[in-house]
Amino acid sequence: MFNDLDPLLHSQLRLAIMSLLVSVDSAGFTFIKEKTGATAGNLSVQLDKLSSAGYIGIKKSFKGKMPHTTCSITKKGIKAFEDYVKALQQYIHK
Amino acid sequence: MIMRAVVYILLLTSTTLLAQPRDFSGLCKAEMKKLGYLVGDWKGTATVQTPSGPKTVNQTEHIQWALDSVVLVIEGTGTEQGRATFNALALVNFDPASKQYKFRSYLKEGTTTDAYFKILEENKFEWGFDIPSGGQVKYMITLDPVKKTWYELGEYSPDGARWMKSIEMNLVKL
Repeated sequence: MFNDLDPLLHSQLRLAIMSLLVSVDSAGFTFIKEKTGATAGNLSVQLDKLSSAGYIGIKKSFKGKMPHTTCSITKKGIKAFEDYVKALQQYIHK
Repeated sequence: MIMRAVVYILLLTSTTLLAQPRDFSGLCKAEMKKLGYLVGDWKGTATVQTPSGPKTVNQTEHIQWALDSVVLVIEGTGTEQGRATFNALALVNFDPASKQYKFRSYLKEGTTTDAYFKILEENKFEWGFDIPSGGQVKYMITLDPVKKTWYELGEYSPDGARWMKSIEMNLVKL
Protein backbone atom coordinates (compact mmCIF):
# COMPACT_ATOMS: atom_id res chain seq x y z
CA MET A 1 0.00 0.00 0.00
CA PHE A 2 1.45 3.36 -1.04
CA ASN A 3 0.87 6.46 1.02
CA ASP A 4 -0.53 9.47 -0.82
CA LEU A 5 1.97 12.13 -1.81
CA ASP A 6 1.03 15.58 -0.52
CA PRO A 7 -0.30 17.28 -3.68
CA LEU A 8 0.86 20.64 -2.39
CA LEU A 9 4.46 19.44 -2.29
CA HIS A 10 4.21 17.29 -5.40
CA SER A 11 5.07 20.20 -7.64
CA GLN A 12 8.57 21.00 -8.85
CA LEU A 13 8.65 24.65 -7.77
CA ARG A 14 6.87 24.24 -4.43
CA LEU A 15 9.12 21.30 -3.56
CA ALA A 16 12.19 23.35 -4.52
CA ILE A 17 11.02 26.20 -2.27
CA MET A 18 10.46 23.83 0.65
CA SER A 19 13.84 22.14 0.06
CA LEU A 20 15.53 25.52 0.23
CA LEU A 21 13.65 26.70 3.29
CA VAL A 22 14.08 23.48 5.27
CA SER A 23 17.83 24.09 5.50
CA VAL A 24 17.84 27.79 6.41
CA ASP A 25 16.26 29.98 9.09
CA SER A 26 14.73 32.24 6.46
CA ALA A 27 15.32 33.31 2.87
CA GLY A 28 14.56 36.45 0.89
CA PHE A 29 12.28 36.46 -2.14
CA THR A 30 15.13 37.40 -4.47
CA PHE A 31 17.30 34.56 -3.14
CA ILE A 32 14.53 31.99 -3.68
CA LYS A 33 13.83 33.40 -7.14
CA GLU A 34 17.49 33.09 -8.13
CA LYS A 35 17.87 29.57 -6.73
CA THR A 36 14.70 28.20 -8.30
CA GLY A 37 14.87 30.11 -11.58
CA ALA A 38 11.16 30.89 -11.28
CA THR A 39 9.54 34.05 -12.54
CA ALA A 40 8.50 36.57 -9.88
CA GLY A 41 4.82 36.08 -10.68
CA ASN A 42 4.86 32.29 -10.51
CA LEU A 43 7.02 32.27 -7.38
CA SER A 44 4.65 34.70 -5.69
CA VAL A 45 1.65 32.47 -6.46
CA GLN A 46 3.37 29.32 -5.19
CA LEU A 47 4.57 31.05 -2.01
CA ASP A 48 1.01 32.16 -1.33
CA LYS A 49 -0.21 28.57 -1.71
CA LEU A 50 2.42 27.28 0.74
CA SER A 51 1.63 30.11 3.12
CA SER A 52 -2.14 29.48 2.96
CA ALA A 53 -1.49 25.84 3.87
CA GLY A 54 0.54 26.98 6.86
CA TYR A 55 3.73 25.39 5.51
CA ILE A 56 5.69 28.65 5.39
CA GLY A 57 5.49 32.10 6.92
CA ILE A 58 5.91 35.20 4.77
CA LYS A 59 7.08 38.43 6.36
CA LYS A 60 7.07 41.72 4.47
CA SER A 61 9.29 44.43 5.87
CA PHE A 62 11.12 47.48 4.58
CA LYS A 63 14.80 48.16 4.29
CA GLY A 64 14.75 51.91 3.87
CA LYS A 65 12.29 52.55 1.05
CA MET A 66 12.69 49.11 -0.47
CA PRO A 67 10.34 46.27 0.46
CA HIS A 68 11.92 43.05 1.63
CA THR A 69 10.02 39.74 1.64
CA THR A 70 11.34 36.97 3.84
CA CYS A 71 10.06 33.39 3.93
CA SER A 72 10.60 30.74 6.57
CA ILE A 73 9.34 27.20 6.98
CA THR A 74 6.92 26.45 9.82
CA LYS A 75 6.78 23.37 12.07
CA LYS A 76 3.79 22.20 10.04
CA GLY A 77 5.86 22.69 6.89
CA ILE A 78 8.79 20.70 8.24
CA LYS A 79 6.42 17.86 9.20
CA ALA A 80 4.77 17.93 5.76
CA PHE A 81 8.17 17.92 4.04
CA GLU A 82 9.42 14.97 6.13
CA ASP A 83 6.19 13.03 5.51
CA TYR A 84 6.51 13.73 1.78
CA VAL A 85 10.10 12.43 1.71
CA LYS A 86 9.11 9.30 3.68
CA ALA A 87 6.18 8.66 1.36
CA LEU A 88 8.39 9.09 -1.68
CA GLN A 89 10.95 6.67 -0.24
CA GLN A 90 8.19 4.05 -0.06
CA TYR A 91 7.69 4.35 -3.82
CA ILE A 92 11.42 4.10 -4.48
CA HIS A 93 12.15 1.14 -2.19
CA LYS A 94 9.21 -1.04 -3.20
CA MET B 1 21.86 60.79 -66.80
CA ILE B 2 20.49 63.94 -65.10
CA MET B 3 17.64 61.90 -63.59
CA ARG B 4 20.12 59.40 -62.16
CA ALA B 5 22.14 62.24 -60.61
CA VAL B 6 19.01 63.74 -59.02
CA VAL B 7 18.04 60.38 -57.52
CA TYR B 8 21.58 59.92 -56.22
CA ILE B 9 21.59 63.37 -54.56
CA LEU B 10 18.17 62.73 -53.00
CA LEU B 11 19.30 59.38 -51.61
CA LEU B 12 22.49 60.89 -50.24
CA THR B 13 20.59 63.75 -48.57
CA SER B 14 18.02 61.46 -46.96
CA THR B 15 20.73 59.08 -45.71
CA THR B 16 22.64 61.98 -44.19
CA LEU B 17 19.48 63.23 -42.47
CA LEU B 18 18.70 59.76 -41.12
CA ALA B 19 22.24 59.37 -39.80
CA GLN B 20 21.96 62.49 -37.66
CA PRO B 21 20.78 61.64 -34.11
CA ARG B 22 17.79 63.71 -33.08
CA ASP B 23 18.45 66.06 -30.21
CA PHE B 24 15.73 66.01 -27.55
CA SER B 25 17.87 67.71 -24.92
CA GLY B 26 15.83 70.94 -25.01
CA LEU B 27 12.60 69.11 -24.23
CA CYS B 28 14.26 66.86 -21.64
CA LYS B 29 15.95 69.76 -19.83
CA ALA B 30 12.69 71.72 -19.73
CA GLU B 31 10.85 68.76 -18.15
CA MET B 32 13.71 67.97 -15.77
CA LYS B 33 13.86 71.59 -14.63
CA LYS B 34 10.56 70.92 -12.81
CA LEU B 35 12.55 68.70 -10.44
CA GLY B 36 15.20 71.35 -9.91
CA TYR B 37 14.49 72.14 -6.26
CA LEU B 38 15.49 68.58 -5.34
CA VAL B 39 19.11 69.34 -6.26
CA GLY B 40 21.33 69.78 -3.24
CA ASP B 41 22.07 68.07 0.04
CA TRP B 42 19.31 67.12 2.45
CA LYS B 43 19.48 65.81 5.99
CA GLY B 44 16.94 64.56 8.50
CA THR B 45 15.26 61.40 9.73
CA ALA B 46 13.32 58.51 8.25
CA THR B 47 10.94 56.42 10.31
CA VAL B 48 10.52 52.94 8.88
CA GLN B 49 7.77 50.54 9.97
CA THR B 50 9.36 47.25 11.00
CA PRO B 51 7.73 44.06 12.38
CA SER B 52 8.93 45.12 15.84
CA GLY B 53 7.56 48.65 15.51
CA PRO B 54 8.68 51.98 14.02
CA LYS B 55 12.42 52.54 13.71
CA THR B 56 13.95 55.97 13.12
CA VAL B 57 17.24 56.34 11.26
CA ASN B 58 19.28 59.34 10.16
CA GLN B 59 18.76 59.98 6.48
CA THR B 60 20.66 62.03 3.91
CA GLU B 61 19.93 62.62 0.25
CA HIS B 62 22.57 63.93 -2.13
CA ILE B 63 21.09 65.07 -5.42
CA GLN B 64 22.90 66.40 -8.44
CA TRP B 65 22.51 66.88 -12.16
CA ALA B 66 24.31 64.75 -14.71
CA LEU B 67 24.62 64.98 -18.50
CA ASP B 68 24.06 68.73 -18.57
CA SER B 69 20.80 68.58 -16.54
CA VAL B 70 19.27 65.75 -18.57
CA VAL B 71 19.60 63.20 -15.75
CA LEU B 72 19.06 63.63 -12.03
CA VAL B 73 21.21 61.48 -9.76
CA ILE B 74 19.79 60.79 -6.29
CA GLU B 75 21.78 59.05 -3.59
CA GLY B 76 20.04 58.26 -0.33
CA THR B 77 21.79 56.95 2.76
CA GLY B 78 20.26 55.76 6.01
CA THR B 79 22.59 55.55 9.00
CA GLU B 80 22.21 54.06 12.45
CA GLN B 81 24.80 54.93 15.09
CA GLY B 82 27.07 56.28 12.36
CA ARG B 83 26.89 53.11 10.26
CA ALA B 84 25.21 53.15 6.83
CA THR B 85 22.48 50.53 6.90
CA PHE B 86 20.72 51.62 3.74
CA ASN B 87 22.21 53.06 0.58
CA ALA B 88 20.41 53.53 -2.71
CA LEU B 89 21.04 55.40 -5.91
CA ALA B 90 18.38 56.47 -8.36
CA LEU B 91 18.54 57.98 -11.84
CA VAL B 92 15.63 60.05 -13.10
CA ASN B 93 15.24 61.27 -16.66
CA PHE B 94 12.51 62.39 -19.01
CA ASP B 95 11.93 59.99 -21.88
CA PRO B 96 11.02 61.97 -25.01
CA ALA B 97 9.56 58.90 -26.73
CA SER B 98 6.98 58.01 -24.05
CA LYS B 99 6.74 61.59 -22.72
CA GLN B 100 7.14 60.18 -19.22
CA TYR B 101 9.71 60.32 -16.49
CA LYS B 102 11.84 57.22 -15.99
CA PHE B 103 13.03 56.28 -12.53
CA ARG B 104 15.51 53.48 -11.92
CA SER B 105 16.94 52.75 -8.50
CA TYR B 106 19.95 50.69 -7.52
CA LEU B 107 20.67 49.14 -4.14
CA LYS B 108 24.15 48.50 -2.80
CA GLU B 109 23.11 44.86 -2.50
CA GLY B 110 23.07 44.77 -6.32
CA THR B 111 19.37 44.82 -7.13
CA THR B 112 17.68 47.35 -9.40
CA THR B 113 14.09 48.52 -9.58
CA ASP B 114 12.25 50.35 -12.34
CA ALA B 115 9.64 52.68 -10.92
CA TYR B 116 7.14 55.16 -12.27
CA PHE B 117 7.65 58.82 -11.43
CA LYS B 118 5.17 61.61 -11.96
CA ILE B 119 4.67 65.23 -11.04
CA LEU B 120 1.41 65.76 -9.16
CA GLU B 121 1.79 69.52 -8.89
CA GLU B 122 4.64 72.00 -8.44
CA ASN B 123 7.19 70.44 -6.05
CA LYS B 124 4.93 67.48 -5.36
CA PHE B 125 5.94 64.14 -6.84
CA GLU B 126 4.90 60.51 -6.68
CA TRP B 127 6.96 57.44 -7.47
CA GLY B 128 6.34 53.77 -6.90
CA PHE B 129 6.43 50.26 -8.28
CA ASP B 130 4.90 46.80 -8.10
CA ILE B 131 6.69 44.50 -5.65
CA PRO B 132 7.77 41.28 -7.42
CA SER B 133 6.56 39.18 -4.47
CA GLY B 134 3.17 40.88 -4.56
CA GLY B 135 1.71 44.25 -3.61
CA GLN B 136 2.66 47.79 -4.48
CA VAL B 137 4.49 50.69 -2.90
CA LYS B 138 4.13 54.39 -3.58
CA TYR B 139 6.01 57.40 -2.26
CA MET B 140 4.69 60.96 -2.17
CA ILE B 141 7.30 63.70 -1.99
CA THR B 142 6.34 67.23 -0.99
CA LEU B 143 8.98 69.95 -1.17
CA ASP B 144 8.57 73.34 0.48
CA PRO B 145 11.08 75.84 -0.97
CA VAL B 146 10.13 78.44 1.67
CA LYS B 147 10.70 76.18 4.67
CA LYS B 148 13.41 74.29 2.72
CA THR B 149 11.82 70.98 3.69
CA TRP B 150 11.29 67.59 2.03
CA TYR B 151 8.46 65.46 3.36
CA GLU B 152 8.04 61.96 1.96
CA LEU B 153 5.39 59.42 2.84
CA GLY B 154 5.77 55.83 1.71
CA GLU B 155 2.81 53.47 1.64
CA TYR B 156 2.43 49.76 0.97
CA SER B 157 -0.63 48.06 -0.43
CA PRO B 158 -1.16 44.30 -0.70
CA ASP B 159 -4.06 44.73 -3.13
CA GLY B 160 -4.04 48.27 -4.53
CA ALA B 161 -7.02 49.20 -2.35
CA ARG B 162 -5.75 49.21 1.24
CA TRP B 163 -2.67 51.36 1.89
CA MET B 164 -0.46 51.22 4.99
CA LYS B 165 2.31 53.59 5.97
CA SER B 166 5.76 52.06 5.43
CA ILE B 167 8.09 55.03 5.81
CA GLU B 168 7.93 58.70 6.66
CA MET B 169 10.85 61.00 5.93
CA ASN B 170 11.46 64.56 7.06
CA LEU B 171 14.48 66.34 5.63
CA VAL B 172 15.85 69.88 5.61
CA LYS B 173 17.91 71.34 2.79
CA LEU B 174 21.46 72.17 3.89
